[in-house]
Amino acid sequence: MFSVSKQVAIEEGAITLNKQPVAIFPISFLGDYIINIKGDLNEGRRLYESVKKGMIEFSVSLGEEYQLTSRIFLDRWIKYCGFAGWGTVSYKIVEEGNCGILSIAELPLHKYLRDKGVKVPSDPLFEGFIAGSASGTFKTDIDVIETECICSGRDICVYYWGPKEYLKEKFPDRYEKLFGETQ
Amino acid sequence: MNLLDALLMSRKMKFEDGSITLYGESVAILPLEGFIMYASKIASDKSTTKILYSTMRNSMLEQRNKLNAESKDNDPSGWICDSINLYGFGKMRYEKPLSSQNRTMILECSPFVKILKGKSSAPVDHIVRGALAGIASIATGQELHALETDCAVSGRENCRFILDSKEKLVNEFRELCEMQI
Repeated sequence: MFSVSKQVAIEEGAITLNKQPVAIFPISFLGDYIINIKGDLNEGRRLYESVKKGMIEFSVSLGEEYQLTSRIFLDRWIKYCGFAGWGTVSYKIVEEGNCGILSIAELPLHKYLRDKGVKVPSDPLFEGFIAGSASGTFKTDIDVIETECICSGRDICVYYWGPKEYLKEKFPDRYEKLFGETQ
Repeated sequence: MNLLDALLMSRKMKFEDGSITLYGESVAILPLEGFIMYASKIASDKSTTKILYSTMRNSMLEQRNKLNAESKDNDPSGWICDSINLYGFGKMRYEKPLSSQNRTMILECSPFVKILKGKSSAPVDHIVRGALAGIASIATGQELHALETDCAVSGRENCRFILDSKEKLVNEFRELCEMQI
């Protein structure tokens, strides 16, 4: 049986997950940084694109090493998220291959944001994290939009992932705000 | 026994379903490559690097009460390095024994450097610099800041940090302070 904890190696100054570098981040740091750049859409986009790119490389490295199918790889990501302190995650594929919905209960980062008074979904860090993971998993360019968030009073956080055209058609206003040419 | 094993044994670090706590504070494990990409993108943007640094420093300082109790239970000098090394941002050590005259720290094996070596002329270790400043402030009971005076991305052997009060750092390293603090 696959066990995430067995994939983690800890040495002085270095932590690796499946031989890839990871680190421990205080949720307060991540949350406060998101709040500090919240009004700056360009900075949010730079964070999103950077994290997405990094996660694609991370995912590709893992995928190459284990030669996993997309579905098995996705299931492993879900386990990683739970182990790594990213809440209780589930997903649904809405169009086989490239589009889907990710639901997260008790996402500690967004609980922190909610407690700090953030009212609307606005987390380029975690959106970039999911976009890069999905792009690397399905080996195509995938983006992400958060449609529900515990910050705005919902029970769970919900993310749609898919190619830009899919997100643009399904969520035109949110898409324009996050990825539009005018940004 | 290393610090992590000790923390797990003493239940000061707990893994529960979907969440992790360290000294009672919520933490998460994230792949570093995204942050490394981001650090390279903002390396020459002094406004953003300062925000990144100060956010990490303040995050540590907000845990002052809990971390202070931990540092008091240990040798403060060793505790600073052990604490930094726990997070996975590289291996921190003193250049010489810590004293009021010498507060130079060396970071070896920075994962940021491993990926960005030769790709940036500006320092990139702003997150670990913020963590160092916050943790050292707690351990010493002084308001310390950290400057990265050498970064291995631009060809140095290791990354080098100076810890001191903001006033003293500004007096000695005015240009660097304008970039980093």
